Amino acid sequence: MASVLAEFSRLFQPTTFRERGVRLPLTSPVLAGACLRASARNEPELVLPNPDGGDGFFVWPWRDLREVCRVSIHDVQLLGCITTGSQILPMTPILPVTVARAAHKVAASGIAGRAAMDAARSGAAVDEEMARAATGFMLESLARHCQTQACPVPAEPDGEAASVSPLRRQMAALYGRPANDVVRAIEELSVAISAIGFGEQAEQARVPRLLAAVEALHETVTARLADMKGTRASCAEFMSTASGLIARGAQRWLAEARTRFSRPVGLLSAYLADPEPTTHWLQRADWLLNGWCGPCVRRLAATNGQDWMRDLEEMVALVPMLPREAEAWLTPLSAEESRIFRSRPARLRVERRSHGDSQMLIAHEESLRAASLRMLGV
Amino acid sequence: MTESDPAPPSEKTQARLLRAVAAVDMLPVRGPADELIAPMRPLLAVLKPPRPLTFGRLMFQPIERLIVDGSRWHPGMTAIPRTALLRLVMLVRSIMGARAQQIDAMLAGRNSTDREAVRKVGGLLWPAASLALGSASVPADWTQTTRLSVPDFTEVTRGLTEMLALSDRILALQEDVATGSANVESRLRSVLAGALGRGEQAFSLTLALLLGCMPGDGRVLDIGIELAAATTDQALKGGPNKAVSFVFGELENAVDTALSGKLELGAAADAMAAIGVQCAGLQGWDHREDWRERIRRIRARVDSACRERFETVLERQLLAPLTRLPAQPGAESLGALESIARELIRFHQAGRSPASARNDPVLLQFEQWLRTKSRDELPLSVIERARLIEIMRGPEAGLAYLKEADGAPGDTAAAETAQPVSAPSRSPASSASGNAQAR
Repeated sequence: MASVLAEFSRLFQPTTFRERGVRLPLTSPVLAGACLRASARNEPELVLPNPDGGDGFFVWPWRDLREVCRVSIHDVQLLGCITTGSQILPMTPILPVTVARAAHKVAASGIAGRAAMDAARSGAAVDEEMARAATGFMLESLARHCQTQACPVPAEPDGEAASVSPLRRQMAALYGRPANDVVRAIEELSVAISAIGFGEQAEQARVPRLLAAVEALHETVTARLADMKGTRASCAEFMSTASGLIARGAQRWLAEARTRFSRPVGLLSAYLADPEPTTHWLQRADWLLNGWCGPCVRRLAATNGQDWMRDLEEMVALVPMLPREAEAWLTPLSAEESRIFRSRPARLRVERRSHGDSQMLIAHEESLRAASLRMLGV
Repeated sequence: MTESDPAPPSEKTQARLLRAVAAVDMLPVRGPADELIAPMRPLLAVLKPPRPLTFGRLMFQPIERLIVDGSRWHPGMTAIPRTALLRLVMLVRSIMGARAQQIDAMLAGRNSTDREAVRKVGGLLWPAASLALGSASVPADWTQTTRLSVPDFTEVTRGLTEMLALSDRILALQEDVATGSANVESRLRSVLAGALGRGEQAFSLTLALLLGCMPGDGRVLDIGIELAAATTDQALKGGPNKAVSFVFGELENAVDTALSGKLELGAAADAMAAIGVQCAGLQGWDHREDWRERIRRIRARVDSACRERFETVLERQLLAPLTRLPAQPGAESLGALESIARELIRFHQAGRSPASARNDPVLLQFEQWLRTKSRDELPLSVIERARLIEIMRGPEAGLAYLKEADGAPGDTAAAETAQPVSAPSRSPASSASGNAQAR
């Protein structure tokens, strides 16, 4: 079939997070655990772990996927936010932050059900408020900087249709770039900052909330390790090690990102010079945590401790793969932690994807989606 | 991705069923409590929940598919009447004496899913029980306790004696089937040949049992017919027909139970899915005209009864509540209606091919009804209607409706929510941009 580009070996390990892709909060059971990435020709493609129940990963071009399986309206709408079908939209690079915002928007439309809609609408307000506050902080810092450094206010350029404010003229002079470029850079950085949190409400942002959930998962699983036997014990050990590792790395990079943002004048300068390294630093915690809402929400949404431990194998199977670039982000690694990059004790059961009635499975995914939006903001 | 695979029973149904069974299992004397779970027996056969492994349960475990309600059993039937079980267990225990208590001790704390215990302890129990029943005489209270006649005792124990003697081989075959072993065909042939050597009743009972255990595996019937054809004994030659008749009867009974209205919709859908698997397995049973005719009748019965119940529930539990929705329906009431729609479509699809199920004119009418009702008549937004269409007719139909509704003038719901969701802007919010501009 032409739509199958490649089947990776069971030892497939991507080099970078971009090669691995961003985990999508999809509701179609057959697409459980799928990551979205851009192909070499900037076409959207899904990386699916063991879709037939065996080992390995499949890569499917999104434009062909609907020919071979039934995809829920929610998933079609979500992909429609990020792609034209055959190309990634130029304004929405495939990053955890852009996918999270698109997913919020789709959930807020109601197509994943009323519960997800209500949760997404209230979450979006927090997100936008955070971004507004970050924008305000950067503008105030710039104004203060110009004042303390006694930056001259350049004369208003001739021929401008509208009057340009003194601060914009100062910003343009400070960075040697047109004022519009600086404003756009502030807006783009604000989007990244809204994910990691800023100000008094910082812990309400998406990344710190997810980090707290991973920390709690780590604590709970670790506390119950001694009670486990057989496959469940190896799953619990994997989950304990993996969640501990991710939490430690995300804490470090979240703190680093916030420190960098506390010096916005320099941050903006570096971003204007080359946005890629700066956004990469700011998004490391987000990349590390990407995909962890699946395992975490199964614990959070459970009504009692027993329920979610029953799903431990599925939770382990949903833990996203770490690319090789993460090794450098997470050093020092113990021998046990290094193994997490290469193998895991469980994979998604094939009946989880394809057996039974798809609408029942979609309803289950929608309830988890609503819980994730409500409890984790993602 | 095989759409013909059976749907797993809904979690709610399973949980309720397992709670009821566990409660009944806890009773020291079950009596009428047994009747509580009687309608769920077809589903129990699918779910196979873990139950305490008692002497009696182990004794009948390999042949439980041959057990029928006492009211349905008749002399000559390829089956064991349920009303006889308890008395037969007591009879075997009394003959086995202290050995029965040893088996009790070995079973303490075990449950019916413990394969090792079933194989090991069953290997001791079944031959001993077979010997015990073979030498037993009619208990004085037989008719009083079983509601069966004295001649029935001979009929029931003769068949059971033979089946118990074959039980360890039948269990080994069932395990081979479960694990997909390459030995299945040779073991199947060996079991059926062994049963044939034990006479007509053992042969037809074994064949009936295996036909039920291995639906869809044409080798069972083919080997049974081949072995029967090779004998000169007319009674043995009739074995396959008796076995097939039993399977048909069980299937018809399961259909009646599933569609009787005693089961709620979710449980009925689970039962119908199991029946669908059995029906699919009948495809190769075209050896005789009377079999083909009966299969046609069963399928027609499944189809018409399913349709009848589907239409009734659609009308009463979905369409009527939809038309009574308040102007601003709450999340809870909408969620409840979507749940009914999901149960309904699961029931509708159970036992049918997915393609024919999706193109059912009733579903098309339902979609049309959702599309054409005005907001005053049906206070649902375009998105809410699209979700119902997705549930009942599939995502393609839901998406097609959304596209059409996007261009529909004057629909406020469409204006609010049905626009294809556009890409999120790169900037966090226009107001943030405005904030920067204002400075």
